[in-house]
Parts: sequence; C-alpha cells; structure tokens
Amino acid sequence: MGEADQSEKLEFKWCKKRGVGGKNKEVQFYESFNFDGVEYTLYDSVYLYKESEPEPFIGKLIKIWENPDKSKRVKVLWFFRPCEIQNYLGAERVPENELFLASGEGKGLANVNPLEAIAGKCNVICISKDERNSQPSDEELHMAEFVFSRTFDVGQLKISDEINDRIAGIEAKFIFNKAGSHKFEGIVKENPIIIEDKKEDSRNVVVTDESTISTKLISTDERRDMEEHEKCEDGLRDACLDSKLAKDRSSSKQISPRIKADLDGSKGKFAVGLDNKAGVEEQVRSLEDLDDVERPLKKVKLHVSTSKGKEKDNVMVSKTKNDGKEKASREASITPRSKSLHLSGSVERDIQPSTKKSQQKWRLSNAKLAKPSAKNTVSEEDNVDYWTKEVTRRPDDNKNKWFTNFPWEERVVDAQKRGMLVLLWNLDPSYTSMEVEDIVWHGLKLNCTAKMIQRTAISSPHSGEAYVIFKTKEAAERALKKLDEGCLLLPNGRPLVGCIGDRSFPGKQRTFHGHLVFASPRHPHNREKEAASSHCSQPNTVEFELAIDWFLLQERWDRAWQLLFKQQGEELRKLRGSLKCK
Amino acid sequence: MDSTAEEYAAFMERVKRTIYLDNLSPQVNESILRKALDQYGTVKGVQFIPNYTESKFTARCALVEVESPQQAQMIIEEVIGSYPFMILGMPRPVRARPAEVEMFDDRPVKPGRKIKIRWVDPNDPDFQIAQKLKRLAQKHAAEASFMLKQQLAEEEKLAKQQSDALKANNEKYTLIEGVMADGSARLLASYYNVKALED
Repeated sequence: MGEADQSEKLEFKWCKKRGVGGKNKEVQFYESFNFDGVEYTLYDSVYLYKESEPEPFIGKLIKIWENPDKSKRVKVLWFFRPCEIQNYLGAERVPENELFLASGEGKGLANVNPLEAIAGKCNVICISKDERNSQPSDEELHMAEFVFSRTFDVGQLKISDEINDRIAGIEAKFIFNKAGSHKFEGIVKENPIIIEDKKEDSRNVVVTDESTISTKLISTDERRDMEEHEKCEDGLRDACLDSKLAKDRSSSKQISPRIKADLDGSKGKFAVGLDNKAGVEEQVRSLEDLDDVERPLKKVKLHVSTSKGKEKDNVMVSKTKNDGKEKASREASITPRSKSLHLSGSVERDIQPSTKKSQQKWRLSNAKLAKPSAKNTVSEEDNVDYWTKEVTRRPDDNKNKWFTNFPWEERVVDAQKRGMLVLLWNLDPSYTSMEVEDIVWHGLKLNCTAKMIQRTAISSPHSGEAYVIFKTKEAAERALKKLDEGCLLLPNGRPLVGCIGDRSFPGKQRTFHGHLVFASPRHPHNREKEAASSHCSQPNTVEFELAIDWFLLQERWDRAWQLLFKQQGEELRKLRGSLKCK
Repeated sequence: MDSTAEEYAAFMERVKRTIYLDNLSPQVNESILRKALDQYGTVKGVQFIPNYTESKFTARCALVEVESPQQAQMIIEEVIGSYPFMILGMPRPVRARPAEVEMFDDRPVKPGRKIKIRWVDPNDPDFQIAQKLKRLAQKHAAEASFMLKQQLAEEEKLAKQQSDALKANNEKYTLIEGVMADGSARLLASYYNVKALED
C-alpha cells in the first residue's frame, strides 16, 4: 500500500523558535510551525478533534513546544460552544457561531494536547466592543467562522461580557483582534493585512510584537531567557537563509521576476523566504538589510511551500496580484492547500474555497491524519472499492478527556431531530462502543459517536445493536445508502445493517404493567404502606398468588424468546454456512 | 497489553459479582434498589440500563454489584429466585439473573481481538449471500420486535385481569363492611331470627 506510506507522513516542520524552558532547558518552545501544509502561529485559533465528540473543539494556541522526547505539545485555551454551556445561558438564544472564551481558573480553561490533535485552523474573530479590541470589518465578519465577545468563567461558571486583562496567563491583547496587524488571526485574514503593514512602518509593529511576546514569556513562568530567545531567533533566521540560498534555484527563478515586479510595484522590499522548496535569491539577499521581513516572510513561505511544482507561479502571482481584495486572496490562500493535497495524493476531494464550512475543513484534516489506512484518504465519496482490512484504533485518539460528561441521552435526542442518528445492527454483541466507532471509521470513512445498546434479558444473542451519531444528516444518509447498496462484512459472516434511528421518545410515561394501585384507603391490605418498600412475599398472602401468575407468564415468554432465538440462530447458521469466505 | 488483559480480568470479576435485575418499575431508583438488597448483601454499585430501543417497554433493568460472586449467587437463587420479590409495587415480582458482559456499558475491549471488515464485491458470490443475511437480520429484528409487542400485550392483559379481580373483591369487601357498619346486617338477623355475628 504505497498510498498508506504517503499519507502516514504528515508534513511537519517547526518554523519560528522561541526560547527554551524546563528544568535543564531541554524543552524547546516555538512560535510557529507548519503542519500538513498549514502554518500555525501562536494565538491562532484551531480546531481540535476529539474522538467521540460530534463537533471538534475550538481553542487558541497559547503555547507550543517540543519535549525532550520529541513529542510535540500545544497548550490550548478553550472556546466553548453555546451548546456546551447551555445550562448557564438559560433561555437566551445565542447565534450558532458565537463562542465563549474560557476564563477564570479551573477545569476546562486550558490544557495541553498533542500537537497532532490539531485538525485545522479556525477563523475566530473577536467582536467585543471593548476599546482594546480592533473592530473587525464587515468582510472579516462575513468570513469569520466563529465570533466571540463573551467569556465563560470555568471556576465560577459565569458568563461575562468583560474580557479580563489576563486569561490563562495570556495578555488580553493576544485575545483581541490585533490592531493593524492580524498576525494572530487565521490564514485567511493575513493577506490583506500584510499589505497594510508594508505601507506603514511594519518594522515597528514587529518590534512591538517581539517585545510583548518576550514580556509574556517571562511572565508565564517558563523562565525563558530573553537573550537566548533572541539568539535562537537570529540563529534560525540565518540558518534559514543559508539553506535557502543553496536550494533549488531553478524553480525559483521562474517566479522571482514576477514576484519582484509585483512587490516592487506595491512597495518593494519584500522578502520571500522558503523553507524547503524554493528560494528567491535576490530578495533573500536583501533580507539581511531588512528588519521587516518577518511577517511577509512567513506568509509567503507558507504559500510556496505548500504549493508545489508549477502551481507555484500561479498561486504566487494570483496571490500577490490580488492583494488587498480579500475575496480573491482568500481563494489564493486556500488553493495551495487543495493543490498540495492533490499532489501528495492524499485526498481526492474538492475543497471549495470557502472556509465557512468548518466541518469540511475539519474532516479533511482528519482524513489526512488517518495513519493506518490509505483508504480513508483515497475515496471519500460513494465510489466504494472492495477490500478487506483489519480494524485498528481510529487515529487521533487524543487525550483531552476533560469534557467527558456530555450527556449521551441529550445528544441522541438532538441527533435524531437532525437526522443524524442511525441504528446499526447485526454487530457482534460483544463489541464495545469504541470498536463500533472504529468499524464505522474504517468501513465508511466517517467519524461518529457510537453506543452499543446494552444487552437485556430480551436482547438477541445473535445481533448486537448500536446507536451511531454522525456529524451531519448527509453523512448519516450516505452511510445508510452505502450499507444498503453495498455489503460491509464483519467477522463471522455479519453484514452490517443500518436504519434511521427512530426511537420514539417517551413523551409521557407509559404505564408499567403489573403493579396494582388501590384507591381505597380502606382496603384490607394496606398497600400504600407496603408498596413503598420491597419485600419477599410469603405464600399466605394475596399478592403471592398474583405473583405466581406473573412468574408463569414470565416463564412462558422466556421459553418463547429462547425458541425464537434458537430458531433464528439456526437460520443464520445455515445461511452463513454457504458463505465462501468467513 | 498486559495492562489491558489485567483490566479485562478485573472487569470479568466485576461481572461475576453483579446481578442483573429486570421487571423493575420505572419509579425504582438507586436508593430504593440499594435498600431492597442491602438486607441480603452489600450493594457496591447500581447501574440502570437505559432503554433506548423500546420506549413502550417501560420496565427498567439494572445491574447491581454486590460484594462477592457468592453473594450474587445467593441473592439470585435463594432470595429473588425462590420467592416473589417485589420492589415498589405489587404483585409483579422482579427477576434476577447473573449479569453478562454485554450488559455493561463500560466494558473494556476484549484484549487481543482483531476485527477484519470487508466490502464485498457485488460480483463475488458471497455478495448475494451477504445480502440475504442482511435481510435475515432485518427479519429477525422484526420478529423480535413483534414478539416483544405480544409479550407486552399479554402482560397488560394479565395486569388488567388481576386489577379487575382485585377491584371486584374490593367491592365485595366494601359491601360486606358497609352492611355490617350501617346495621342492616343486624336488622336482617333479627328479622330472620338468626344470631348476628358480633363484630
């Protein structure tokens, strides 16, 4: 499986270093990294995928580092979705795309996750009227996937309109939209801003950023040595340049004049640095003279490194030409992603230049994170191909378990209303919910939350049932269609069967048969009193005889069930016997 | 691997000392259940099995963990098994069975199990059989659902029958009581010249 190998190697690269920390300074902190063709910077908002949750979590990266054992970690300050804090919102109706920033102190504020749990960037804009916040433009608002203006105190469990000066050790200015420089906002927004920067004195901006970051560093007990931090950065920059000069000039030459032309037109000294693929020589040379390279450098780097081969020129050119026009630049900034995907052969999916669909984006990254199977990444739509494979653990089983108490019952109700609930059966009854999720993931290439229905005395021993909540109605329908038309064979000759989950909800409590109620208080047997407790009935009482009737009935039905299951088992055995391949 | 095997073994121990109870009234809650069984053993945990599929089927099921497998066996066989044991309502007794692995929601994955799945090619002869198996599974589910409906209908019938009989008895008692109370019994006795019962 050649494809599997390819998809296993998720592109990853550290970009900008910060200081070191830890006891022996063995922990390296970073300001940015490139993961799977997307550059993430400190304070970006990202999607984090957690298995068994229908929606990805959203959080802000507030710390990025690599441990001595090379494991990569990010500290994430969480956003809450309105549904997660429903209880505290009361009757208020909140727009679906409003988020609440975690604040205060306590569980759910922020935590450390493996970097690989990041599923994609998320464009979150602060719409707080606070004067510290630079107000977003209409266009920005329109493009934002989510907005926030309020916080949710995880300690006091209160929603507040205020954004404190410090949240989880982070200064408020990193939480608000950055004035003039949207460095810390999503990729989509960066483009136009860069131009502004260039027109103004972007050097100042950079310096401010640096200093604020440094103060923050010191304040967040990582005891980072500021000097060292700067040295690191310088070192990195130099190293970066050296390698750039040496690399792959042929391809860069094609671009460089064009870029240069464009850039010169707008303001000139704009340096392009590329980390591995191409370097633009002339401009790189001039880099050393410039201090304002930082942001543009990063920006362009991202684009070029994600787009490969010939696409490069197009992308670059379209990007630079369309600078200032947000819409166009948005397309440009998206295109390289999809192209690089195509090129690396990992996902055949049309990525529309719309970032609104968070789910799409999110699933996309998920699909690519799929390590064990090439299949999830190859065909997403209905072109089923026929294969056998072993079900392994779904990837990305990340560790953030702090939100485990989401009541399943509520989610089922909600999912059914939205048509996302599917009942699967003919499963081996001994499967666990987790295994069902894995099966759905591998078999249908869909993420879901599953719950095996617990066996009772009247459950069939031949067929296990599970409720599965898919992310969307479409996903549920697609899954059902595939299961209906195709044939997903589980071990022991069990083709998976599914239907729309149509549990009828107990609107009113139906009566439970068999417990008699007596209205008359004068009844010889004082039932009210007795009914309140439990007891073993003795043979000399009225209820004993009545109970014997129940025993009889129960016994008869037990027999009937046994017979039914036996007969069903027989039928199944016969039919399975004719299967060629078990 | 060792740790998962250990975890599974620990879980199996738990299964062995757990009792499955059903035919419980929907009003039964954990504390009632604890109280009901505490006289026979030490209840360590109670879990209700949520009823997702058949909301018509309102009897509840629960898993009750007691201290030891022996205790569980004793309760199943000697207490609930030999006398009608009633909790929060009469006369329908609750039923107890040893718990099974599949009844637990939090069961761990069986260690070492491998699941292989396969999309069957429509040209494969197995495809037809698999399709048949699917239909069979659907048929079986329908059968079970029908059966359950029948069972519930019978339960309802029995309940109604008993309730009617009791109501009739109740009326008789009230009637007799009334006759004694308002003195008509004594009047009649003296009229027919028989000795009235002293009450």
